[in-house]
Amino acid sequence: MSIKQKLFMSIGGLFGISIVLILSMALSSTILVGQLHDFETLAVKIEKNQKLIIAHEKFMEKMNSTLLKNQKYRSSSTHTTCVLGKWLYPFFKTDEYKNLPSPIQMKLQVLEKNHKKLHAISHKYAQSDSVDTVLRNDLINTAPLLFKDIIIGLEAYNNLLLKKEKQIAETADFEVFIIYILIAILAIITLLIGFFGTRTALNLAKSIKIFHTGLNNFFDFINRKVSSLQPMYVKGDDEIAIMSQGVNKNIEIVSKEIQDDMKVMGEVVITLDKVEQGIYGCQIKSHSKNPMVETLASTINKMLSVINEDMSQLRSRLEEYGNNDFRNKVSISPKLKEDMLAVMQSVNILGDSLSTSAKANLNNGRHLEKSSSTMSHSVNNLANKANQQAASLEETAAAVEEITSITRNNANNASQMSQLGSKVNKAVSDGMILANQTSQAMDSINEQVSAINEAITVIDQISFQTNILSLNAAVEAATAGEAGKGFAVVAQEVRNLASRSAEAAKEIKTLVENAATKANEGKKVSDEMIQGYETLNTNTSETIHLIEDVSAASKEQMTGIEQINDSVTMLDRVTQENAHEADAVAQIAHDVSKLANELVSDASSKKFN
Amino acid sequence: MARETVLDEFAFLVSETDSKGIIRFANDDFCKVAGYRLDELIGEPHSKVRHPDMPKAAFKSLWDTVQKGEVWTGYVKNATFEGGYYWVYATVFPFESCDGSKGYLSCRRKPSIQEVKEYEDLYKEWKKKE
Repeated sequence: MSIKQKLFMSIGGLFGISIVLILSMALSSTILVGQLHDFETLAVKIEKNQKLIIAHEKFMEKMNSTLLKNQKYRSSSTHTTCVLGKWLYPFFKTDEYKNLPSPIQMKLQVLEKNHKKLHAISHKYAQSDSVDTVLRNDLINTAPLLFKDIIIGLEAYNNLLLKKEKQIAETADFEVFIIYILIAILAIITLLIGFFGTRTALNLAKSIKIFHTGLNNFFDFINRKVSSLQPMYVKGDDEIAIMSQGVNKNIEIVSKEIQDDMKVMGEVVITLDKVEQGIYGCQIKSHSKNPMVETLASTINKMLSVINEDMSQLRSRLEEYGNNDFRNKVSISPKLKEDMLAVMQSVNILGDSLSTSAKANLNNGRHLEKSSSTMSHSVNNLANKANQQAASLEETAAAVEEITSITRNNANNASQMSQLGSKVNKAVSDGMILANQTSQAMDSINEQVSAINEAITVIDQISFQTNILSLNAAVEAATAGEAGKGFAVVAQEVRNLASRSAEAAKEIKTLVENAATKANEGKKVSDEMIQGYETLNTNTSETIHLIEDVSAASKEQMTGIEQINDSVTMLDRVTQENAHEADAVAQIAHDVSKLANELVSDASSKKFN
Repeated sequence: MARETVLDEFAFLVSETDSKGIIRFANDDFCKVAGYRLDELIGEPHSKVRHPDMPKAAFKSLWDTVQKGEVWTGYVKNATFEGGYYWVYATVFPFESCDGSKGYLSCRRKPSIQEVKEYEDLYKEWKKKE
C-alpha cells in the first residue's frame, strides 16, 4: 500500500468513515422522525376510530333504549353526514384505502353498506309520525347486527392500524439500536485509525531511515568505498518499498555491470600481460554494457587480431626462411605505419637478401665444387706421390739401415776375420806341424800295413788249412755215419767259419790295401798340405793385411753410412711430414669438396626466386 | 606475527585457471603481491596462495557457485610466498580461455578495512566450527 493510500487510509479514512457514519446516523434519525410522525398519525387515526367505535356503541345503546322505551328519536344526520360517513367516504377515495388488504376492504364495504342501511332504517323510523311497531321491531332486530358489522369493520381497520403502529415502534427500536452500533463502530474505527496512523508514521520514519542507509551504502559501493553490497531491506509495497526495490534493481544492475566491466578488465589485463610476453593469439571474449569499456575491449580485440595476423605472417615467413624457402614475402597492409611497417619491410628485404645470397651461394658452391674436385684430385696425387716417396725413403732407410748393419757386421767380421786370420795363421802353423806329423804317421801306417798284410797272409793260410781240416772232418763224419752226424754239423760250421775267416782276411787285406793306398794318398795329401799350408800361411798373412785394410775401410764406410743414414732419416721424416701434410691437405681438399657438395646440396635445397 | 600486505587502491590482481583450478596465467600485480614469479605460478594449483585461516566452507561455496556457471564473489585471505598474507575481494568468473578451453578468471581488488574486519571475525567463527 502506498504512503498516499496509507495516509488516505489513516486520515481520509477517518473523515470518510466518520462522515459515512454520521450520514448513516442522520438518515437513521430522519427515518426515525418519519416513523414517529407516522406513529403519531396512526395514533390519531386509532384514537378517532376508537372514538367512532365508542360513539356507535353509545349510539346503539341509546337507540336500543329509545326503541325499547318505545320512544321516538330524532335523527338529523344521514349516512354521509354522520361522523362515520364524513370519515368513511373520503377515506374510500384515499390511497391508504386502496392499499389496504382486501379482507379489511371487504369488512369496510360491509360496514358502509350496513351503516347506510342502518341510517336508512333509522331515518325511516324517525320519519314516521307514530311509533311503527313493525319498523321498531325490525330496527330492534336488525340494528344490533348492523352495528355489530360496523364495529367489526371499524375494529378490523383499527387492528390493522394498531399492528402498523406496533411495527413502526419495533422498527424505531431497531433504528435506535443501529445508531448505537454505528456510534460504537465509529469509536472503534477512530481508535484503530489512530493506532494504525501512528504505526504507519513510525514505520514510514523507519523505512526512510533504512532507505537512507541503503542509499548511502549504494553510493559507497558506486564510489568503490566498499566491495560488495547487500540489497536493501524491502517491506510492504509503499513508495519507499518501491524506491527500495528500484534501488535494489539498480544495485543488481550496477553490480552486474561492475562485474561485467571487471571481467572485461580482468581479461584485458591478462590478455595484455600475455601480449607483453609475446602471446598475441588471445581475444577478449567478455562484454560490457558500458560503451566505453566495450569500445576499449573491441579496440583491443581489433588491435590484437591485426597484430596477431601480422605476427603470424611474419612468423610464417621467418619459419619459411628458416626452412630455406625464400620465395614468399610478407604482404603489407596499406594501413600499416611506422614500426610494424618497418619490421615487415625489413623482413621482405631480408627475404630478398637471403634469396640473392642463396642464389650466389649455389653458384659459388658449384664453382667451389668444381675447383675443389680438381684440387682434391691434385692433392690426392700429391699425397699419393708423397706417400710413395715416403715409402721409397722408408725402404731406402731400411736398406741403408741394412747396409749399415751389414757394414757394421763387415767391420766386425773383418776384425773377427783378422783375429781368425791370426788364429788361422797359428792353425796353419799348427796344421803344418800336424801335416808333418801326419806324413810321418802315414809312413808308420804304411809300415804297419805291411805287417798287417803279412799277418793276414798267415790268417789266410790258417783259414785254408782249417777249411781242409773241416773237409776232412766232414768226410770222417760221413764215414762215421749216424754217429758222426753231429760232428758233420760242427765240421760244416768250422768250414763256414774258415770260409768267413778267409773272406774276412780278404776283406781286411782289401781294407788294408785301401788303407795303404789311403795312407799313401794321405801322405801325399799331407805333403801337399804342408805345401798348401805354406802357401796358405803366406796368403793368410796377406789376407790379414787385406782384412785390416777392409776393417779400416769399413769403419770409414760406417761413418759415411751413418751420415747417409742421418740424412735419410731426416729426409724420411720430412717426407713423412710432407706425406702427412699431403694427406692432411688431401683430407682438407676432400673436406672442402664435401663442403662444396654440401654447400651446393644445401644451396640447391633452398627455394628462391 | 605474519606480516600483512595491504593492497593499494589501484591494485588489480588477475589470474586465469583451468577447470581444475590450475593457474594458467597471472598478471604482474598478482605475482608481485603473492611474491612469486609467473613461471613459479603457472601449472600450480590456485591453492598455492591459500591461507590456513580460510574456512573450507568459503572455498566450497566458491566451487559450488562457479561450477554452476555463476559468478562468485567473496572476501579471501591469501598467503604470500614469504609467509605473510593479504586480503582481497575476489570475483571469480566462469571463463573461456583463448584456446577455447573452459576455466575461471579471478579478479581481485582491495576490500575496505571494515569489510576485512567483518570477514576476519566471521571466518574465525566458521573455522572454530570446522
